[in-house]
Amino acid sequence: MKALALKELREVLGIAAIALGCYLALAINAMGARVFDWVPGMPAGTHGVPFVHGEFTTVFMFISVLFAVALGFRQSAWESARGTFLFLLHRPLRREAIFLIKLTMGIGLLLVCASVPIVVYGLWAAVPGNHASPFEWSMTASTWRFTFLLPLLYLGAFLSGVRPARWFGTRLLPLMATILILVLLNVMPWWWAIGFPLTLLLYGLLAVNVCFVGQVRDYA
Amino acid sequence: MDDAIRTTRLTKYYGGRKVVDHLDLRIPRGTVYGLLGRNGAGKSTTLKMLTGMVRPDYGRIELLGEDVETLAPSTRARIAYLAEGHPLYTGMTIAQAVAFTTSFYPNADRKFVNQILDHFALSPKAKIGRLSKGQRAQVSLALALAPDPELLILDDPTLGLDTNVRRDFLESMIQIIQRRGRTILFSSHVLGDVERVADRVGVMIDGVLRVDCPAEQFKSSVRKVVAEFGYEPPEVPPCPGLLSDWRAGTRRELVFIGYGPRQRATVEALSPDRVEVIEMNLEDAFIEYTRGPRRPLPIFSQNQGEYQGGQADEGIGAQGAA
Repeated sequence: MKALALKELREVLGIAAIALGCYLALAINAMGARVFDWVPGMPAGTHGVPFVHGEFTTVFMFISVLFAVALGFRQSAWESARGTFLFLLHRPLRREAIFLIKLTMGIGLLLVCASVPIVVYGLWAAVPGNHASPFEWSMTASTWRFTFLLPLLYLGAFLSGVRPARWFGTRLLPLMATILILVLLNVMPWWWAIGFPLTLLLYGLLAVNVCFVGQVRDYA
Repeated sequence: MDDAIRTTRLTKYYGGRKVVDHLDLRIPRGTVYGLLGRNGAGKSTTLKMLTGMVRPDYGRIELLGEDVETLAPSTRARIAYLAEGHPLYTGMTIAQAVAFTTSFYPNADRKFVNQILDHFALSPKAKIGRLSKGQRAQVSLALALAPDPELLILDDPTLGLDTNVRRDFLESMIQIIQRRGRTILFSSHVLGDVERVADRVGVMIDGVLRVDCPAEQFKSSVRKVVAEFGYEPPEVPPCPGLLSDWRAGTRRELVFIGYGPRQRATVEALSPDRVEVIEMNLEDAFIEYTRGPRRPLPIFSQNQGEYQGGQADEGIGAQGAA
């Protein structure tokens, strides 16, 4: 199991490194270093309340969506396309265990990487004198909430990658559905009462679905 | 003798097409079984169903006495599977691939794997993505042997390899076979390979196992008869076991399954000037048996090596036609 977890990490390291680089560039520019001003859409310093005003959250969401989708497909469709599922799934491990390890590593890496720019930018914003506006850690709540929703997108992409379909359009249905759900959950009122448990439930349902599809599909 | 592989009425459809048709296959332990067939005959699908990579629509599979549907990881650890094309993680080095694979098997013999890699002159530091097809096949074989499997299922293991590498690969396979009680099921397009290593062959045609008998019996059952007439050859009347009938100038080339007294009498009744009965190697026998217009093919029996008049269910060695 440890070997499989390490293999998953090694395989997505490239994508994670790119995402982390983008996240750090975003945080560095938002902190006023302006090293990455040449990147379209990159915030040039903080003009207003951190996490509330400015482009940080928008660019963060953009990077995160791409990262989650790329990660999901890398761990599923990539193996399908290269035929390595035939090698992996013959290992003496229950098939559900193999898929659950994949999902755990993917979600873990996604959450860790996405947390980095929030923590870095938040720590900078918390130091008095760095910017001309008030800051409370509670202002990061909406960004954390979006981060918490990201695994849904990842699971949707994973399911799309592992699920056989006659054509690409129908294969993407799970991903499309999770995008819609993510948008709805992100604006849901009484988040902690409804949105949070609902998100956890959807994590479970999608993970079960991935394991089920992984178990019953043909690796032809 | 108990069976390493046993399938019962195994059937698989892709779309509306039946790619494997009520396959009843029994492979006793210790057998080296070569599964033959033309492209699309259903060989790969069969092997994938055996390893649980493809779910059958109907039928049952037992590997080492256990149902594949509920195959315990400990039983799976006793089975090696080499998929077609040798899919491996190209980002890994050979050493990483060995470490990754052996970590799943508590009894894996790393020393033995390293010996095999050494035999193939493969550096553990080499990246799998940079290896040739032949080298990848060698790595796959080494990894498959790590847990000392009782049953090896190899899907066209020499596909795409050049003659030298193929020969080297086969030599290694022959050495592996030396271990008593090890069962090997492999599919191949290279009939020479099958002839060298298999002690039993199966021929699949359109998803149906038409032949299931010792390789020698298959070879000896298919005979080419060349009848020279010196004039325009007469038409050959219907005859049991007649597979094909080609006219070439003043000659008729007839291919029979189970060339016996009845077939000989049919040929002699044509009053040819000269008759030559030609024995065939496995490749020629296979080609003659599987080529030609698609039509119901005769079945021959394992015990008698004799044509069964197309009564599929009567065939002992092979399963019935649909």
